Amino acid sequence: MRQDGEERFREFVTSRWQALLRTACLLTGDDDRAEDLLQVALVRVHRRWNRIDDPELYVRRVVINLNNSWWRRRRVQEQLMGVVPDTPGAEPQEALAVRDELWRAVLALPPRMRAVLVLRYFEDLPEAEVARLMGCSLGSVKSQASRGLDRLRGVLGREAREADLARRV
Amino acid sequence: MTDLEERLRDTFTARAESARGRSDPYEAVMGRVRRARGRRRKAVAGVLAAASVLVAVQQFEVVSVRQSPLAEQQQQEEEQQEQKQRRVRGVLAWPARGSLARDADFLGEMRAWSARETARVLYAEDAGDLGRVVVAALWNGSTWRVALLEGEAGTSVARLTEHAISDVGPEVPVSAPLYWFGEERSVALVVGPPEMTKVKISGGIDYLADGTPSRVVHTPPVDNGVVFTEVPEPRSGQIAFKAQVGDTVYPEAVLPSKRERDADAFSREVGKAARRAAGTVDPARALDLLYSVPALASPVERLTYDLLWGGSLGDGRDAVVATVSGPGTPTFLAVQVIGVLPGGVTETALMGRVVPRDLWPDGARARGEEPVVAWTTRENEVAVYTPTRPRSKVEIHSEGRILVEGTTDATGFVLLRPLTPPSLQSEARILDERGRPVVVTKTHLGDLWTAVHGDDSSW
Repeated sequence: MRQDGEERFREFVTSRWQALLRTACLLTGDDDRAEDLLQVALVRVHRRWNRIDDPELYVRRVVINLNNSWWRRRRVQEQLMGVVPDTPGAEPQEALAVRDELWRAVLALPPRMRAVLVLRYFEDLPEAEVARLMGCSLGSVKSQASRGLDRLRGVLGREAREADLARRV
Repeated sequence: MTDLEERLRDTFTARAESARGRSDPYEAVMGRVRRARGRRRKAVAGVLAAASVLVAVQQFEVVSVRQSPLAEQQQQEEEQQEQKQRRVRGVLAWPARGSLARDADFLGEMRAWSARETARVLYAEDAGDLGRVVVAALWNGSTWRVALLEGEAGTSVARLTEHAISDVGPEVPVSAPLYWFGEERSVALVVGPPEMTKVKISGGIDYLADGTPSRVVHTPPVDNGVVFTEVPEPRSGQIAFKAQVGDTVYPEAVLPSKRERDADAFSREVGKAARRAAGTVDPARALDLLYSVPALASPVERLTYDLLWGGSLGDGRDAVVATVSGPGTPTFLAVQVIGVLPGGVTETALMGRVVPRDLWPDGARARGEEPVVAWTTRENEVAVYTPTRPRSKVEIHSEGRILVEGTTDATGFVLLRPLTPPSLQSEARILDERGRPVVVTKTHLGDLWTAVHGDDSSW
């Protein structure tokens, strides 16, 4: 790579590292794994630097794809899901517990479903952009998001029911 | 925004803030770039030697190959090899199991068979009708590999057949079980650590009356982290495993079909279907589109195909609509879209759902129904195809109002671009000459994979 290209690559890595790492952490659920995937993606970007129009898009795609293929074989806690309506806001002292429970439920989602939710609700990308990034249809994004939220709603509903039961007992 | 969506944002933000920083990420990445270069040079050297004869003839082409796809493939293979080595080293922590694992005569045969390698038996069993299987890790002085040997009961090691074993691949956690399915005797082998307490094996997918996929699941007993069992009525390409190690459950692993001969026959059928697309979409493009469907609708053997429509969606994108079905499967309506966007990004989509077998492409009127499919590929775009209703008015409805309307062309197709994006509940309504709706369908079409295989969490 020429010197000016190397400089631009350095600037890209330095300026975008933290943001890309945050997304990778949410996609993988594991800080070490996230950094590993991000480095692999950036090595590939470095090799194609002069031929890539949108390096950030490229990195995100590589991280999503690597995480999807790895996840298919990784261990995951099985979750029992039911569908209940959204619950009203939790009390302040319960907020952290709910957040932890929600995060555990997010980690149990299939990788593409989790990626859709991360891109929609963390990156705030419109659905069409999520579809473009993930190389799938808009309908697929909509359905993955809808099913993902249903599953999370189910988990929170179950937790609420169990907490209610515990209080009664 | 719902309360759940708000909480999800909070959760993501909180987790993301905990991601640790790195003082010099550029240097970390460049260290990895340098290591990758070193490995690549070593791996590509042999290939370049063979290619050097060509350099004199067509120097530029060879140079371009040297710098991109070949080198990349070599590097990926190197990385996969490293992963494999880590994986096998993890497997070595497992104990030797099976009735033959401590049989002196058998171990002597193993030593003779693996004369140039050091063999460590992980599992060796002779189980009558199920045959004899041996799983062993082999060290050749520089790399490890896992081999599976299989044959009739009582067969000497030297005469056993060596097979590839699934999940000894890249990026596999070291404690993941090993899976194998022997098509000849319909036997499945799962070897994991002793903490593996539960295994589910599915020989195939049944479909309910409404076309919903339902896996036929067998839960054999696990003996010290091993299952060696017969699989009743297995269907090639649909064999799937799940295993629980300790308190964790591995997601399903679907084994691909190895029946290449049948796959070739299917490819010929695909070729014929693609040629029928002439005049609507480039046959070569149609071939590319259709080839990706059998991978989802496995088993691939004896699938039948009908191409219903092919055409352009604009912006360099093409689409095909086809039905696919196989022995014991419902008929799936598949929509495949592919295109290259500005900037070189490829846009693809593979969607589908079950349809009544005699509805597509014929038989609709006889049933008093109308064949129709609608799908969204972009936020402000709905495609509708209804072959029995050419030049008919179409309305897209959402939450009680019409988002957009248009008219199908002579083939029954129309592409509509509403200003407001349709929701999951949006509908496409096809109207008759009097303006009455004759057929209604959702504008959202689900994933074909889910339609064919069902949800991983359903079994």
